[in-house]
Amino acid sequence: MRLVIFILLFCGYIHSQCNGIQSFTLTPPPVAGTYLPGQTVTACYTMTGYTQAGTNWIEGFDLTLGAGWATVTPQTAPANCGGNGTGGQWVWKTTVTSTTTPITTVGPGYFFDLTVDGNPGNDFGDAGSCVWTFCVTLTVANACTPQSLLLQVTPGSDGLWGSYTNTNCDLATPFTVFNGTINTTPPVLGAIQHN
Amino acid sequence: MKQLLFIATMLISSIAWSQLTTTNPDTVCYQTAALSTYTVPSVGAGTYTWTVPACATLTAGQGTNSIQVNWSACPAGLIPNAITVSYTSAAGCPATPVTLNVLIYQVVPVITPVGPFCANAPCVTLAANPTGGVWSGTGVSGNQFCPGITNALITYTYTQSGCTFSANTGAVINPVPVLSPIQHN
Repeated sequence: MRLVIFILLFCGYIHSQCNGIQSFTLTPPPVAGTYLPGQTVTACYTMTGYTQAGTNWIEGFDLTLGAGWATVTPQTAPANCGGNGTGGQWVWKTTVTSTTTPITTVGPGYFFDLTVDGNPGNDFGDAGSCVWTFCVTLTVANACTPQSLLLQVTPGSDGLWGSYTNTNCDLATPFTVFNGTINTTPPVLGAIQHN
Repeated sequence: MKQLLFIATMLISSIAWSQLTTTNPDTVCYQTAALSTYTVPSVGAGTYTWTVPACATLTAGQGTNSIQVNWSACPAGLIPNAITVSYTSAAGCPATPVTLNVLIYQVVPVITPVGPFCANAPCVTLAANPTGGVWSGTGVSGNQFCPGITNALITYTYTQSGCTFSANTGAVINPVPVLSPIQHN
């Protein structure tokens, strides 16, 4: 028992999983794990809490999109957890490149720009442990092949995607919102009627 | 009560079915000038592509789920797969095409000739094949022709499957010769 506790603490110290409780909504919901070609879907994601191990702050939410998504459009950004006193803002970026090493490029997604210079990768994240919620609108490609509609959200720390140098929250674990495909069932014509 | 409800439901279903079903082959009257409208239930906002025989003319609706066709130039007889409609969704997904056979329906009534007659000869019974048609013309009443004093045109009109066909025949009426009074030479 003591060995198990030691291993858990040790792992947490090296690469702590800092993410809070994650949830999502999809509007409209998928049908049998699929969406129709050309269909528009609104995805809203919420993370409640952030561990801040090693004083890491949440830097952003990176989206992983399957090939079946034609477009992704930001709708509502997360609220600033640090409050106005700490400055900064959540912004939608198609790519963000970290300052800390190893240099990493992520995006699209929402990222925290503390210095409000348009580059979330050269500063710290959003301090505190709050409820972060954002929504995006996605459009399914007009395709007849069952392409992937994977949608994952990966929360990342400023020690991973910003300018902070602590690695305690470097374990970036994708959270799967949806892992379906395009509905490619061919349309079926009815009989010809002579009116 | 439950049985009555069941019967009513079946009746309504059969009525709805009969309204939505076109017999295959579809029947079109020979040389009709009326346009025929053909429709498939809409399955989306994609593109519908129709084909018709060379003798027919697609007058309206190409690209939609409803078209109008002029069959007046088509010869009588069955045209297999006369109408075909295919559909491609906005995503480019094709549906299996649907076809309809069309029968260009023609009946040529044949009238049994009558006459020639002498003027004011006794009435005769008219005959034609197929039976069941309607007779008309000067001196015609029902299926009887009563010669007058001049030639007559007799018409036979036959209707089937909504199509009307007619045939004519002439009745020659010869005047009755009139003898002059006897002369004592």
